This record gives sequence, C-alpha cells and structure tokens, in this order.
Amino acid sequence: MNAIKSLFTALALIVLIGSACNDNNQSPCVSEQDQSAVFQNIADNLIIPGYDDLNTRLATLQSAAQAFTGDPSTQQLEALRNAWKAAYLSWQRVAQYEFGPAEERQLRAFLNAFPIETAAVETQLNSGNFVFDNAETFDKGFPALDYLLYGTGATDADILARYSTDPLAGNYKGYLTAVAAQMQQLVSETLQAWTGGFRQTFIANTGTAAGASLSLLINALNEHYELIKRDKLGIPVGAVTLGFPNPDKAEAFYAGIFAELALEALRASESLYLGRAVNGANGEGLDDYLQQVAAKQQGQDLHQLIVDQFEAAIEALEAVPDPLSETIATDKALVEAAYVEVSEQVRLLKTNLPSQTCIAITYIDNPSDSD
Amino acid sequence: MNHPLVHRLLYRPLPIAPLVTFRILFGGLMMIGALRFMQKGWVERLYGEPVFFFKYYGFEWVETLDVPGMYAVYSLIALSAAGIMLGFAYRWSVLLFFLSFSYAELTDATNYLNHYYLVILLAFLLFFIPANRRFSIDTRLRPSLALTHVPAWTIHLLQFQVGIVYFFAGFAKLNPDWLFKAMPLAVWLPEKAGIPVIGPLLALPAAAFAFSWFGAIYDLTIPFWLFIKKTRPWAYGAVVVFHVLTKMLFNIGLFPFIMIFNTLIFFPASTHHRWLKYLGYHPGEPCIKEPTTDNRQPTTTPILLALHIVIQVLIPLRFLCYPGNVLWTEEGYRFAWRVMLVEKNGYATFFVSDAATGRRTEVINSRFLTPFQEKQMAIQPDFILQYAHFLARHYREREGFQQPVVTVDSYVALNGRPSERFIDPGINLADVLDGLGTKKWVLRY
Repeated sequence: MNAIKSLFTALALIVLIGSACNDNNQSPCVSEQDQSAVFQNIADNLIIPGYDDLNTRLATLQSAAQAFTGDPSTQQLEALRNAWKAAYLSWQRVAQYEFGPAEERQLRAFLNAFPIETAAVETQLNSGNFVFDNAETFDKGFPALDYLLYGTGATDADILARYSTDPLAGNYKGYLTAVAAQMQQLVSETLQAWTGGFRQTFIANTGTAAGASLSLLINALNEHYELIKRDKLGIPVGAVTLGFPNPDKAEAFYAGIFAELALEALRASESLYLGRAVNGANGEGLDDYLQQVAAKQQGQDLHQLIVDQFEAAIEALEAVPDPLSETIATDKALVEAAYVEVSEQVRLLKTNLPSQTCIAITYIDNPSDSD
Repeated sequence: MNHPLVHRLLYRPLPIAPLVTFRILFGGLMMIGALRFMQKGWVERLYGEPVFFFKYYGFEWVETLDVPGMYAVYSLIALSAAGIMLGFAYRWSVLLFFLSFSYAELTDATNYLNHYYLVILLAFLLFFIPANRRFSIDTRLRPSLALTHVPAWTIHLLQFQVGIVYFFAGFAKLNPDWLFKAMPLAVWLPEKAGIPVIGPLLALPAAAFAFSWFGAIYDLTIPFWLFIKKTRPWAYGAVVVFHVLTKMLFNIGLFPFIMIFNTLIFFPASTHHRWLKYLGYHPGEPCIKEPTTDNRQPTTTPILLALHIVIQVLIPLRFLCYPGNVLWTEEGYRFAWRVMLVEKNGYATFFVSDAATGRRTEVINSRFLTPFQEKQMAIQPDFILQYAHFLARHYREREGFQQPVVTVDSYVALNGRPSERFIDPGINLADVLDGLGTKKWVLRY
C-alpha cells in the first residue's frame, strides 16, 4: 500500500504546483444572460418580421410580374425591377437564418443560388417546362430574375422584345412567373412555420447543446458570414482566384448591385449579433450574451472588437460603388480593402464567439468517432 | 535475468484462460468495429470525399486506395479479426489484422484516435502471445498445439499495455485547464443537459469539476486497483460505470467497450474459467507443460519486453522535449493517450503568392479539404505544414506558379480562451521541412 500512498502524495504535489501556475479562475460558459429573452427578441423582432417583409415584397413582385407579362412595357419592366430589388434586399436580411423551417426548405439554395447558369436557364426556356425542384441547380430564384430582367438583352428594348416579339416570349413570361411563384410559396411556408409553432420551440430551446437555439444562431451567423466573404466578395473580387476578378460571378451581376446587396447582408449579420430590430431598436442579442461572459483579448473587450470590426467592414463596403465590373476597372483597391475588412471578422466570429459562449461549430460535422 | 523474482514474473506458468477471453473479445469487437465502419458509410465519407490526405511523419509515402480498395481493406480487417476471435490461422490472422488496420489508420492522419493506436499496439503484441493455444479452431485442427498454461509475461504484458493507457491518460489530465477550469468538460457536459435523469446535473458548474477530478484520479490509479486482488472487483465495477457514462456522454465509438473488455485481463484464471465454461470451455488437465524448459527464450524475451516497456513509457513523455504547452503546440501530442483534453476552435487562411510574377491568392480550403479535415488541420501544426506543401505543389504544377510562397493567417481558441495567433504569418511554409525538432514557426502560447 506504500506505493499507493506515495502516488497520492505525488498527485497532491502536482495539484499544488498546478494551482500555483494557474492564471485566472473564471468559470467558463456561465452567462447570467437569460437565453430565452435573446431568442424572443431575435424571433419577434428580426426573424419573423424579416420573413413577413420578404413575403409581402414577394407578393408585390408576383403581381408586378403578372402586370408585366400582361403588358411588357418599359413602365411595367421598371416596376417589376424595383419590386425584384426590394425583395432581394429584404432577402439579404433573412438569408442567414438557414435552420429550422428555412433549412427544411433549403431556402438559400432555392432563392439565391448564384452565379446563374445561363445555359441551364436557356434549356428550360427552350423546353417550356419549368421545373425547379432540384436544390443543386443554378437556374432559379433571384439570380434567375436578375438574368431575365437585366441580362437577356443588351438594351431595355432588347429585353422587352423577349417578352413581346420573341418566338419564345410565352416561355419567357412563363419562366418569370414560375420563378416568382416558387419563391413566394417557399417563403410563405417558412413564415407560417415560424409563426405556427417553431417560434415557441425556438424560444424555449435553451442550453448550449448542438441543436439548441444558441447553437443554431451562432452556427447560422458563422456559416452565412463565410458565404458573404467567399461568394459575395472573395470570388467576384478575385481574392481567392489568383487575383483575377470574376465580376460575372457576382451576386446580381446583370443588375449590377452587388455592393448594395452585400452591404445589406453584412448589416443583417451585425443586426443578429446585436439583436437589432428592423426598426433599429437594439434589443437583446448575441452581444448581450457574450458580454456577460466578459471575455477580453489582449486587454480588449471581445464584444467591442466584434462591433468595431462590423463597423470597419460596413464602412469599407459602403465606399465601394456599384457595379462591380466598373469599380474593378477604376478602383480595384477599394473592393480589395472591403474584402480584407470583411475577412478580419471571420476569426472573431468563428473562434472567439463560439469558444466564449461554449458553443460547438456544428455546421462542420464529425463524420467518425472521436476520443 | 535469472533473478528468481524476474523469473517468476516472466515464466511462472499461468492458466491460458485470460488470453482466450482477451482474444475472443478483442477479435469480436474489432470485427464488429470494421463492419460498423462500413455500414455507417464512413468508407465513402473518409476515403471517397477527400482529394488530399494527411499523413504521419515518416509515413508520407502511404497511398490511400480508392473507395472499393478501402472496402477491401476494411473487409480484410473484419475477416482477420474474425480469425483472431476464432483462433483460426491465428498468427496469420493477427499479422493480417495488424497490417490492414495499421494501413487503414496510416492513410489519413485526420482520423487519428488514441484507441485506434491502442488497437494497433495490442495486435502487435498478440502476434507474440499464443492466445490461440486453447479453445480455438487451430487447436481443434491440431490438438498438439493445445496448452493449458502460458508463461506469465504474456498476460502481464497485456496488463501493462492496458494499464499504461489509463496511467498516461490520467497523467495528461494533470494540467491547470483540466483541474482548475474543468476544461474542456465545462463546455462539453452542459451540452448534454438534455439527457434523462442526470442531464440537469451535468449543467451545474460543479459537475464539470467533479467529473474532471474523478476522471483524473480514476485514470491515474485504476491500473493499480485492478492489479490488487482485494480492490479488483470494485475497480472493475468502476471501469464499467466510468466507460458506460462516457459512452452516454460522448461520441467515442468503440473505446468504452475496448476498455471494458481489455481490463478483464487483470482477473485471475479462476474468474475466466467461471464465465468461459458457459461457452463450453474446459481449463484442461492440470498437467503443466513447462514453457521455461525452452532455453532459447530467456535471453531475448526479457530484453525485448524491457525495450517495449521503455518505449511505451518514453513515447508519451516525449512532449517534455518541446518548449511550451503541449495542448497548444501539439508537439508530442499524439500516441500519448491524451484523450478528450482540448476544445479547440481554429481558423486558418492560406495565401499563396508567386515571387516571380507577383501573383497572390487566398485559398478556398474547401476546394481541397473536407470540412472535417479543414477543422482538424486548423489546430494541428504538422497538418498546416503538410497542407501548405500540398498547396505549393498544386500552385506550381497546376496554376503555373514558379516559386510559390505559402503563408498562413491562423488563429486558435484553446479551452475557452479568446483565440490567439497560432502560426508565424511571416514564414514561407513551402520552405519549411517537417521534422521531429521544435517547430519554431508555431507561436508559443
């Protein structure tokens, strides 16, 4: 038994040495913040009003599409384009909530898979059969409308001709209405699912487990933020493609409003983090939760670092004029600078936010066992 | 070598039953493990999806087969494991199992697990241990092979190997994060708050501390409790409870079963006889074939055993040769029974530029790595280096870069701390050679 005794002595010794070296003693993962209050604010003041707004704007878009197909005039085209743009901006505010009802419907894939594959669109146009049930194809949603309303001709007159004198005019009209109808359908279903019961589930689903609402929000924020970085900026700007810009791969390439859309998406990320309602009121958000953990990095408040970085990124992106193809030719440095500022935020959101709030990044799943 | 105590420890004849149990359970479990691996579709996910595979230092030459090839490997693992279980062509089965299993593990270091390493070590040892010499197909076919007793070292060696896993797992837990911050259990336990009965308790901060301390003491001391006759039944009860609990809480696959089965090796033959008889096992006549009369062994066996023991003790301790916190640098981290010690979030952005043309690009990691590989890469320096070398080669051969310079902007958050820069961003990783020396380009914590 002597061996055991000396083992315990050694153990006690090591423990003592360890406690002497120990830097700080704050208990991790414990936040005083009421999670449900955060979820309620985000559901009632960001997500549901967001889907509601998108739903309304898609309804407007649908009636504008009907008016346009009935009367393919310059005025109606203008009205339809405005309705499309308003809906597209509205979409940017909810695109990040790809969990629960939106995830079930693969909303992002069906509404905004870009860049559009014009060949796939042309195939559908020629066939006259409009089937958009494959989430993997790039021939539907907002990007399809971008092409149909801005990209099918060099001038507005050419585009109008597609819907009036073109032999396939009927198909063009059919495509337009079919795309708009599908978007409206999916969004109205998502909205109904949220108001019809998911809201309650979401608010009550507290804790830090994978699949709890806090985990859903932090993962959703991260996943979408990385999409903003890569798809909305990195690829079009050329940062990830050897410095060769690809303006044709930008979001809304034909309408040429990539910066406007990216800015709206970035502001939406910031809103989710802050818990900032559509009307600007700053309610309880992820920031309140993080601040309760009161984490610091090199003496700086982590919350403040994230807020500052959002501001820097938004400011840099605000300086980028549309359309991208022109900005790249005249002032490429502006776009590159915006990309750097947007990128800087990823590590804060992806390493600090989860580690401080004790949330696992689960949109990367472990395909095997662990130990 | 002829000291009576050493002689007794190594060559005292002991009934073979513990080895028979060990062989059957080990082979059976490994067979189920390989079948489970295939059935879960992991062959496609782990070998079909990636285009790039991480390797262990010194084993960079190992090529990964395609999906049908890997299915063949896993089938071979299952078959040879069945051979071990049944004691059929035992030595060939063990050899085949050892080779096929080791190969499967060497194909992608991303999937490193301590218990896979343990399986490889046990298979290696079984090759020298005559666990098939009773109650096996081999002895059915050739009754002359049958033994009732084996030299004691065959059993003690397995006890040592199992014991060292626990001891070093406990040793690794003696770090400030584990003991005084209850990290990473303080993160992982509240995630399980939803499980019935004990769930709500797990969310309490005290639970993480209780689990951490109990876990450390358990790991450090359980081999000794298992070895001492008086405490053995209690110790085994603790083994079962501990591993069932970890199985409920964590996604650790077969590990709990491996340990619950392996620790039976600590029980005397009488216990094994009691249970094995239900399978139709008979201990045999007490006529003892005295293996010590074999005069070829005594010189080499003790030397080889001593060598194995020394190596097994030194490998987990090699981290002491590297400066800094092993949890951060991961130098000397693997093969040291560091189980469930860290919660790390990493993020690594690679840049490749061409000194000749001035071209520069950021790398989209998802082009080359699966999400799981990317996640593992971002927290392990040797993976970061391997990936950087792969990028240099890719951009040289496919993108026309003449002198690719690869740098990385990487951050890691360790055990609930804010993230810190991980790798020196000014270093051209394309020029850095991997080695066993200190990785100076890993920033110290």
